[in-house]
Amino acid sequence: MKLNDIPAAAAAHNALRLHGVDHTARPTWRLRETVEFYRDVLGLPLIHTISARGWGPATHPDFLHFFFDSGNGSTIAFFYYLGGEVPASLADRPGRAPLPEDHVFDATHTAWLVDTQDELHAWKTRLESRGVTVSAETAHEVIESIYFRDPNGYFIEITRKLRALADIDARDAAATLEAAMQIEDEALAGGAPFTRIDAVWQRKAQRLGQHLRQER
Amino acid sequence: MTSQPLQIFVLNVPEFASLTEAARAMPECRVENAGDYTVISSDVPIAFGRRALGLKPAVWYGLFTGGLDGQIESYERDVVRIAPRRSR
Repeated sequence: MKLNDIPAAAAAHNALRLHGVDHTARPTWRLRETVEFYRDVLGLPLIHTISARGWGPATHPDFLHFFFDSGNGSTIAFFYYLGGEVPASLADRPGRAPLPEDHVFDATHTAWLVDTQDELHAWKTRLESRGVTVSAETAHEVIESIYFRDPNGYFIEITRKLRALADIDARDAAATLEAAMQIEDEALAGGAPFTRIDAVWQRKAQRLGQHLRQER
Repeated sequence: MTSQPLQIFVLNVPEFASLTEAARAMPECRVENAGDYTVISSDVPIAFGRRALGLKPAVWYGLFTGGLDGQIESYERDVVRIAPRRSR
C-alpha cells in the first residue's frame, strides 16, 4: 500500500469519487507581494491568469484571477479585486508567527504534500534562506508538517505522510464522530454543553465497552 | 459511592504503541487485546509522562482519542493523571 492511498473501506463507499484538488482559492490585497512570494520565494510556476470586468452585480469589482502550479495538476489561485481595501480582519495578519493563534482564520489553510523528510527539510531551508519564518517540524498522528505565512498572513502547510491510513483508522474515525454527534445532539436538545473533548473520549469508551461485553 | 476501573482504549496504530507498552510495565494496569483496540484497565489512579512515551505535543494532546472511561485529574504538557470515574 502506498502512503497516499486511502483505506479500501472508505473508497468502496464512494463509487462516485473526487479525484484530488484542482485549486484552492482566496482573495489577496497585495498583488506584487503575492506574485513574488508564490512565484519567486516558493518557486511555483505562474501558469494562468484571468483578467476580467466585474461579474454580474454592479458591486462586483473588476479583478485579476491568477494560478500557481502546486503539483499533480493542482493550483493555488488568487483573486485581486481592483480598487479594494484590505479588510480590517486581514490588516494585521502579515508577519505574524506561523502558529495557529487564531484558530478560526488559520484553520482555513492549504497543506501541500511532499514525499520524504529530506524534502520537508529542503523546503524549510529554502523558505528560511529567503527570509520566511517557518515553524519547527510538527509531528501529528499520521503526518509531519511545517507551517509559514504568505504576504497576506494566510497559513500555509507543507506535510509528509508518516504512514498510510488503513481500515482501522476509518473505523476509529467513525466511532469518534458518532460519539461526538450524539453528544452534540444531546447538547442541542438541552443537555450539557459540548465544550470538552473528555466527553467524547468518555462516550466512545462506554460504547466500545458495551460492544466488548456483547461480544463476550 | 463506588468506583469502577478506569479504562483506556488505545487504537492499535503505531503512534499510540508507546502508551500500551508503558501500561504493560505498570503493575497496577491490566492490558488486554480487543480487536482494533488494546484496553488498559486500572482500579487506582495512574499517570503517564509525555517524554517517557516519546510523544510530540500534537500527539500527546490526543492521547485518549481511542476512548477513556475515567476521570482526567490533570493534563499538563508533560504529565497526565487519570483516575477511575466516580459513580453512584
